[in-house]
Amino acid sequence: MEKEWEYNGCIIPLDLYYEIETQTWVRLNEDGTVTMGLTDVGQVRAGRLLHARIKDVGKYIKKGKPVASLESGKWAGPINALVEGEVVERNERVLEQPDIINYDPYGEGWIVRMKPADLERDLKDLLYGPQAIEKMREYIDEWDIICMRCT
Amino acid sequence: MRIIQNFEGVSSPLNQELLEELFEGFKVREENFGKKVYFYSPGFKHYQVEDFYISAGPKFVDVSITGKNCELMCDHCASKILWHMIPATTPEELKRVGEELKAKGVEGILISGGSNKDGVVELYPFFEAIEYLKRELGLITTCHVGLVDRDLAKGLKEAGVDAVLMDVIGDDRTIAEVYKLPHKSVKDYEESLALLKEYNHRIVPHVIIGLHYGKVLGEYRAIDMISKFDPDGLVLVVVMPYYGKTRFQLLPPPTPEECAKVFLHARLSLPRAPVVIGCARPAGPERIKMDLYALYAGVNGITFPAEGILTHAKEIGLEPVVSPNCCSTVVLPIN
Repeated sequence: MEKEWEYNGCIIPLDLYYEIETQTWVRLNEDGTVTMGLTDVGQVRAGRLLHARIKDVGKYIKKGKPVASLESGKWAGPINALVEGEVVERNERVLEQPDIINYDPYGEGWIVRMKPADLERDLKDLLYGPQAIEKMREYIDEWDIICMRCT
Repeated sequence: MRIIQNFEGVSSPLNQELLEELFEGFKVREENFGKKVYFYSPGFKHYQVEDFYISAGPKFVDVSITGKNCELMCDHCASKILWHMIPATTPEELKRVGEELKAKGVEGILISGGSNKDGVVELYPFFEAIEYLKRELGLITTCHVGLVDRDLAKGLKEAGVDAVLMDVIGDDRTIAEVYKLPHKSVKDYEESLALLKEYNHRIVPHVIIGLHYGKVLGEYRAIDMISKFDPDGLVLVVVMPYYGKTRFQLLPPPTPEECAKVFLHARLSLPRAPVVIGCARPAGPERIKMDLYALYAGVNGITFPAEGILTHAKEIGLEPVVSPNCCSTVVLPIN
């Protein structure tokens, strides 16, 4: 089975949950926590990221509220929590060098790990698999996006 | 009013002695302008922090008459400031771009561009097109110029521009080394300001803090010189090293404390002219500190305020006004 889908150069791993509007993703970890980050499409739209702030470990974040904020030369905005819960780990490397997100948005460029309060409820609002691919394709077409990774 | 002790998101303690010093500027601002303070979010950047976001589409955008090209390629910018601008490299293209923007609901336009090797943005062939944008389309039209000669000052006046913006440098070494203009000097900037005033332009000079490779060098002299010309407003920006040439990118920008002292000097030198903090300044935790100091130094406005700044302005009794325009429009009766 394919592990990822690619369209206009944009990589979409098939094991993640997505919110298309904010171009953010969630990965379910074996220990019950979730990891969040920005998609490949999201990093392209933002441009080279210059600054990141991530909420402190131990903070409880409601679903849809900012858990981080990112800034590039042309874009500054929040990364909203896709699941409600407590921050258990921040990616310190992203804080030091935010453009890691541009190089590796699903790997080294993850943003925050959270302990969810009600994962089952929150996952219902996210897209996965073929549904995610369909909506991602629409989004990429609508905004005419071609993905490129900085190296 | 109680001066703040600490602030969420600030990476190092606020300098209390400095804050008390800055408060002199706060009082000057209050005496001359009341409690209003402007927060700007011009349309070239999506900007959203927890307490500040303008969700309406862009109302004020930047256009470059040279596209991404600049003959000077100064160390601090290397033309990157032009990259986000809408290119319109011929008068016909400028008219067409203006029409398209107008149709999309844009109300104002900043016309800028790269400089030639004499530090001049060659706007001469565009006078008629600028007049069209202003008089036919009714767009608020400002021009960001380099050095100015009589023809340029006259042509822009006849075209009806609302305000002229100009970076003013107060040190010959900076002009030679950073701007690559060894044949120009502070005197040339002074003469440009004089010409713009002679033609009764609204002038909004800009001073780039830390322009000399991150060091504060000619900024105080530039402000002193500007204040002699009775400017309509002053914009203070801070150098952003990551915009510059490779060797410049790793240099630290001036500290928030160094910037704050320049803010205060500007406020006290120009007690009755609006002093605003422009869009160009480094991102990161230092910006929160810089913006806080700016509020206490009594500036009239801040562009893209750091998170929490607008909320804090309310807490200290100020009355924030949120604007989708370029901060230089502070001198126009539109906000």
